[in-house]
Amino acid sequence: MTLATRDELLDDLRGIVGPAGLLTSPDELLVYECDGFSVARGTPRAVAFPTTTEQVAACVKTLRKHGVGIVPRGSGTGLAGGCVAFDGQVILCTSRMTKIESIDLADRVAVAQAGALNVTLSEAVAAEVARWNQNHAELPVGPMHFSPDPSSQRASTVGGNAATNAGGINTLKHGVTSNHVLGVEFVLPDGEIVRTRTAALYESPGPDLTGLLCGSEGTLGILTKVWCRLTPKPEHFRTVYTVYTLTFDACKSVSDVIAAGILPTSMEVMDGRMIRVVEDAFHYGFPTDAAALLLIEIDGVDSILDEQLERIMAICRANGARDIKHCSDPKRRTELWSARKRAFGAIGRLHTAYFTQDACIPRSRLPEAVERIVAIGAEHGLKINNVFHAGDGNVHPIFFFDESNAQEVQRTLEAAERVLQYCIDIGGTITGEHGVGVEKLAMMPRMFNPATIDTFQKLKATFDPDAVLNDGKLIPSKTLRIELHRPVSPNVPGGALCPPHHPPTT
Amino acid sequence: MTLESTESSNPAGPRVISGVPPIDPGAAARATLKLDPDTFQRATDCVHCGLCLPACPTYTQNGLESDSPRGRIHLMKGLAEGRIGPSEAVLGHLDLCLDCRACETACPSGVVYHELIEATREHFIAMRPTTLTDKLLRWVFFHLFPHPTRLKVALLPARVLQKLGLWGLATHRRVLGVLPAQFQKMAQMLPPDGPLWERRLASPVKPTTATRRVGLFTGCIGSVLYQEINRQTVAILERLGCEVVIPTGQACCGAIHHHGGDSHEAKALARKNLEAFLDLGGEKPLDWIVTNIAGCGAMLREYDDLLRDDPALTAKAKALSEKMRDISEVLVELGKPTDLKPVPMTVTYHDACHLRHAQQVADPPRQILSWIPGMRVVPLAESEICCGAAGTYNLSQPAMARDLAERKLRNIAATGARVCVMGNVGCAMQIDSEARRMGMPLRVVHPVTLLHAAMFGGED
Amino acid sequence: MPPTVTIHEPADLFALIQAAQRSRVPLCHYGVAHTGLGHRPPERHTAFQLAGEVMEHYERDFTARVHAGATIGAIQKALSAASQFLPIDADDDLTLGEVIDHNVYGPLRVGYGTMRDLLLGLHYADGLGRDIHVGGRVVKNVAGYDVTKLLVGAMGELGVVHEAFVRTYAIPSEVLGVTLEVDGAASVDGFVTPLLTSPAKPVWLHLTEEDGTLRLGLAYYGSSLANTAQFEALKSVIGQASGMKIVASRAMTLAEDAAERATRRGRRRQARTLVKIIVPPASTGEAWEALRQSAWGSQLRIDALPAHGVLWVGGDITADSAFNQAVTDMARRFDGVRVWHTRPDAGSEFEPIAPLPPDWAMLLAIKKTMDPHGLLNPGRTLVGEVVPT
Repeated sequence: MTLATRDELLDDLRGIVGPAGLLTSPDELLVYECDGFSVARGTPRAVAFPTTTEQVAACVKTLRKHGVGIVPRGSGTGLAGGCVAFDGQVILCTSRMTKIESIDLADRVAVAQAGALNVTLSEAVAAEVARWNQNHAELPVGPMHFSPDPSSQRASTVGGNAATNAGGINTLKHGVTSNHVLGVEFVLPDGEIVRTRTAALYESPGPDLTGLLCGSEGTLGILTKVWCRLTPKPEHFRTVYTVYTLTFDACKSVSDVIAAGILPTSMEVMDGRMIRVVEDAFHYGFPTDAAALLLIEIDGVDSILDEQLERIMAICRANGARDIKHCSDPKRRTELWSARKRAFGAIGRLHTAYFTQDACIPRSRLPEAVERIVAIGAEHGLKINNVFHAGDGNVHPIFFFDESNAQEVQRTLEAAERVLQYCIDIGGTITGEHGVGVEKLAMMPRMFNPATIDTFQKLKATFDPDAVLNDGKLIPSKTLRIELHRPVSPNVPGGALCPPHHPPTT
Repeated sequence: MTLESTESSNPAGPRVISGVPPIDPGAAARATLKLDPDTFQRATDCVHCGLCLPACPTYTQNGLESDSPRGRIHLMKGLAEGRIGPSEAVLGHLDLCLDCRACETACPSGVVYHELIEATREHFIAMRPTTLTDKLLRWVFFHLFPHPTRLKVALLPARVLQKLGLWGLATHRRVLGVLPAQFQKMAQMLPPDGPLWERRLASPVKPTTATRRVGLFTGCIGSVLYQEINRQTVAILERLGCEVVIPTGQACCGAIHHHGGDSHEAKALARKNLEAFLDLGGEKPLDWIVTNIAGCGAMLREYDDLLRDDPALTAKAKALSEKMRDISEVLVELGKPTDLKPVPMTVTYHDACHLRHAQQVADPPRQILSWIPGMRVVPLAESEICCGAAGTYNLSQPAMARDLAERKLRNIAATGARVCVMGNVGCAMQIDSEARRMGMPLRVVHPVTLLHAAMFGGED
Repeated sequence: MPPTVTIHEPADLFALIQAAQRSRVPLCHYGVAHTGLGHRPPERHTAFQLAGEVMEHYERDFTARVHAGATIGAIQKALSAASQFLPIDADDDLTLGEVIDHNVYGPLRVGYGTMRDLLLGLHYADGLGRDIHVGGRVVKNVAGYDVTKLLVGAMGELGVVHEAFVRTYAIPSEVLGVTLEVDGAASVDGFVTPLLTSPAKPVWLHLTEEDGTLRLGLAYYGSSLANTAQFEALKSVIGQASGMKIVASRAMTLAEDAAERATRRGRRRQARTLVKIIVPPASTGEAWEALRQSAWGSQLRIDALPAHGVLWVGGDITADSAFNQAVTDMARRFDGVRVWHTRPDAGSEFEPIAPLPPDWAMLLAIKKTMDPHGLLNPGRTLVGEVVPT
């Protein structure tokens, strides 16, 4: 591509989003080189900030005309490199598409532009509930919200939540994002705008395209609008954390609670080192000498919660819980979950070179699996820590390594691969909520048989025949492969950071 | 099982791109920003999680990651590593930062952002060309504002015009229009009334039964434009059994200099204040040093950091930092006064950045308001988002400051309250002047004033 | 009509599809209760059905691996051995595959969602007879595209599901069923959100009509203590609502409750004519009253899910084109959709779904991708060429 056509592309984009809606200076583009997974980096050719669906469609048409790849991005809080541009791709960023178009309490649907923040939506819904109740004092409605609560919910967008099918802490009882998305509007690579839903309908007959678009990581279409289901916001809780001398016992408690047919709102486990990191960061008052903490919350009808909590605590005690602490004060409860949700960010206090896995395994296998994962780490001379959505079986082993030690990086890589293979072998998946992005791409052929990979590729081609949308992410691409593997050389610090696409034959 | 096992319509196979940036061993040598290792560590503590984005006033205003805390850290890191140079665009993004420190409240990794941006600013300030207006502004910031007497002299003509009822005419757009925008803004921000010549506070008479000895830091702009709040503070503290000491040797806290990239002058002022408050003589050292100005309080609390390279003063600076309190914290510590009179009023509370984020004081002012009988406090949406004052930011970045002020006023208007409470002079001037500019009826008041009214009457 | 082939093993299914690819004789499987949904199969076709059972019940995980050929009756029976159940309103003789293909649901949707919420993963055969595995047995999974959800409601046109992983739930110790009498259908519209956001939120909600009286049925699943607490909460919500009163309440077992729900929906299956109308939830009652006021008003049998805007409309009437026009107009009036479930032969030319959802062109393209030779239920609903816009 010549310089002249490149300028023409930027002029065309500027014509759509205005001069203030386009970043092109390499210095400024630096900040868009990665998301929350800072290993994978690539500098976009430009970043455009459309404000409407029509502008997105016009940008897409222009980019396709110029044969330039497109990467959609919301707040960039993803953990798999899914919104990073490589190879001269252009980012379409939704950070200026933040409008909440309508909130309909009677139909329990809110329509928001893709860039609206998750928390902002729920706050707007709360305000609408208050307004409604001023006018309908005789038959008030209870609090409602958009339920998905990824740890990034204060920062992440509803479009990003839908595109990655984000999980979170409350998913155990209330479901992941795609359970709460009733419809989407998206832009196809040819600029066509497609909606999967009309009006406030809860259903669209025929194959569930909404379901397919959720979690498609921007590879099928660019989400511009989301129809969000509004559900009752729980008002009554019992929140406890239980203290253990062994991580195994905490996991066993989780497994036993699930097996007893109890469905808490959330069950989260933090191991000893993570407890100390979190305590150091947020001073919640966790016992720093504990080997593991299990955070449990239940919600529902107030008068029956105590009975349910009693059953849960009995299970915890039977599994050797050393202590059970109540957090009945709403302020303490908020602090507890705020500390939990910020746990990942707090790792920065401990170590800057780390990466996190996101495997999900059957909950009945949790105790043995967590032990096995730590043992695999030990076999490679590594420390693995864990803070995870235990109730869902969604483990987040965190590998710490010294970036300047090539051998250690290599060992980390091998251990991570073994951990994931182990999780697949016991019936698990390589990613429960973070998504594949570029980070887990190499593991996809381990997860899926060739016919399934082929089906994914053909579906992708149905939407995006020229592979212009987020090419090289989520599924192995025939046109672009992004290697996160840096060959190890004794003279170059670093080395491999992610599993190579071709596993070493040694 | 590898990719090759799936059928491929592209016999050449996919193009392979490295998603891991190559290491450029020569970059460090080209770096234009040298940060001391401690400060640089601040940048590497950032794990790029993005939880700071929604807390940042500029990012939430324009959606640019380069105007977000995470983005600015990335830029500073890039400068320090020699990956980018100090282009006008890059410095523009760094300049647009309010240094409000809301990101520090949000940051899970505990990145001390303000040190990083302040060190970077100081580094680049010397290298940048300055206009006459810049020079004039710097003179005003560094040589007028921090000196109460000079400030009073400078304000005298304006105050005379106000008394004569001619100030409105003088600040008319056509008249002020001949001045640079920053100076127009300064004129607008002057509170509409005030004495011609504000008197100094005399050190009050020592009550015989005092249980606590409290030093009062009066501030420079505060002591000229908002001296009444200082008087009310003294009255309240005395009523609550404190001996209030107002050292005459106290100087400007140095915040304007420090944030403006002149840490040398800031340190000199800090030394003066250490002497004034810690070498008082008398039988008993101070229990607390209080101020009702969040901006000054934040600076004074950080003297230990400011003077960390001066071993002779480290211990003293630490002692002062530890004694430093916002007035609201002290009032809460002293407990709810008895016999409070009702102050029937609907108010909302705005979190001054230097109180909420720099000093992490959020509850005490709200608690004080909750004591006052008859007062209804309506929560303010985005109360923790900066109003755009940010020290002298409203003078150096008038456009963004105005956008943020309008956003703040929209949120205030939505509460229905006609009174907005806040604990900082800078915010008060900004919100008050912007409300006047927009013709919005709003009274801006310090929590001390309301508590004073409840204790002594005077608000009906 | 050739006999229906029964498939017991996945390998036989793949072989059947591959054989069809050679012979170009398409395969049809409309299930036992959905033969009226969509256009009729082509004249020449091979009809087949799947047989099977619960393969593994992961009791401690509250999940199960089930052959798509297993019937709902067999599945419920197998799960009940561990005091668990699959919370879906579907008749015992339907296979799980039929339930997935047609997105079968009922009042329980309030508490448990639909198949899209219960399914964790699928094994299916595509139009090339290949074995595709998507999702899995774990409860959270974002690896690859969510083809699992795509196939829910796909009417067997994109693939033949032969195995599924589902969530299961604990059988409640008690069911408390409550019946409310309602003055007019429209009064339900303003009542649903307040009810669902109150502590009295039920696990199912069903608007029916018995002998000219409108009834809103609902139930609570839980311990006796919990159900009583919710019932008390309901009384206070009802106290604030106008036009509602509680006429009956009864504690029972889940089996009794399931039988009652089955009886109520059983009437739909016997109807000579049945059409489903989907409207925004808060318009359910309004649509109901509009139907009553139509020319067919007195002959119609209607039942509805007011929490989801679903109305089943039918009865012993002749589905002529005037009636088709009326229900189609009704759907349009509310920005909704109508779907024919049972039509007498005279109505076979009616569009099965109208108006078509706005993403239909995209779905047609997907059909071409997943079933390139048009072998799976061809011509049923995904008919027509993809027109580039």
